[in-house]
Amino acid sequence: MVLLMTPATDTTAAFEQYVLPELDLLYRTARSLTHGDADAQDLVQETLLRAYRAIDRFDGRYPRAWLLTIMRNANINRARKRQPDLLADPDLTFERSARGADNDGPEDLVVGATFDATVEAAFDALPEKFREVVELVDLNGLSYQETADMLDVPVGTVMSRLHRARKRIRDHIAEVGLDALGGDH
Amino acid sequence: MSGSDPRDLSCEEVLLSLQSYLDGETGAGEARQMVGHLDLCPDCDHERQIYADIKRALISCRASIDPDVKAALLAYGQRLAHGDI
Repeated sequence: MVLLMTPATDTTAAFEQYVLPELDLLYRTARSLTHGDADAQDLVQETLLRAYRAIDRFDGRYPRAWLLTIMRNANINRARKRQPDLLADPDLTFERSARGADNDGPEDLVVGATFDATVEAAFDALPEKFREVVELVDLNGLSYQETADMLDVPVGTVMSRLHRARKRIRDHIAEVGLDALGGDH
Repeated sequence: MSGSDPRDLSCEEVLLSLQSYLDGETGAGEARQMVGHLDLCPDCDHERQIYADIKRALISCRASIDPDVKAALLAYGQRLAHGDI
């Protein structure tokens, strides 16, 4: 009964055609949604497994959106299993932080650094909910709508978090006097 | 730069839409208006440059994927595809 252990050729072909080429996107997205590379790898593997089990029902249209939806659902399941810590409103937390409640701001982390390092430090200092939106849009190349679908929030929330997060990075660049450089660095 | 033509965008409007414009999320008409304003307004164009640089810096800092991780995930995917898992 060896034949029963072997997937249908079209299943294998579909998986290789639609899923495997999106590994980079999946991993980068997983890294935005998780803590650490090990969690990201776990989430990608879970997504691959779910995609493989569902590939026979996939019509071949918009594989990227299909995979991101699978990852989103897998990530929600992971979060539910780990902790129901969903009470804090990240937008309110961010506003409090932006008003100066945090003493360990990026200016403490970067002295005399380059533009890129300053941006990276300011990015690292962002609240997680704002950092993940920047990652999904800037690093993973997701559209506002794709990001909203992934995070299950309205597009307006994506825009608000994204624009305020970048504004905070931009303000930090001004604080350390790097905004006069323009693109020359 | 203030808009003398009613079709022109004000600096305030440009700065409000600047990030969406850089993300490719504005419509063609608004993008043309943005370009028209940025070409003539050095202050707004300076802001455009800074936000474009922030985007570039973030990508260069974070975009790399460990090739060993990529290889491991690809191997996992191929084992799945061929029924080995």
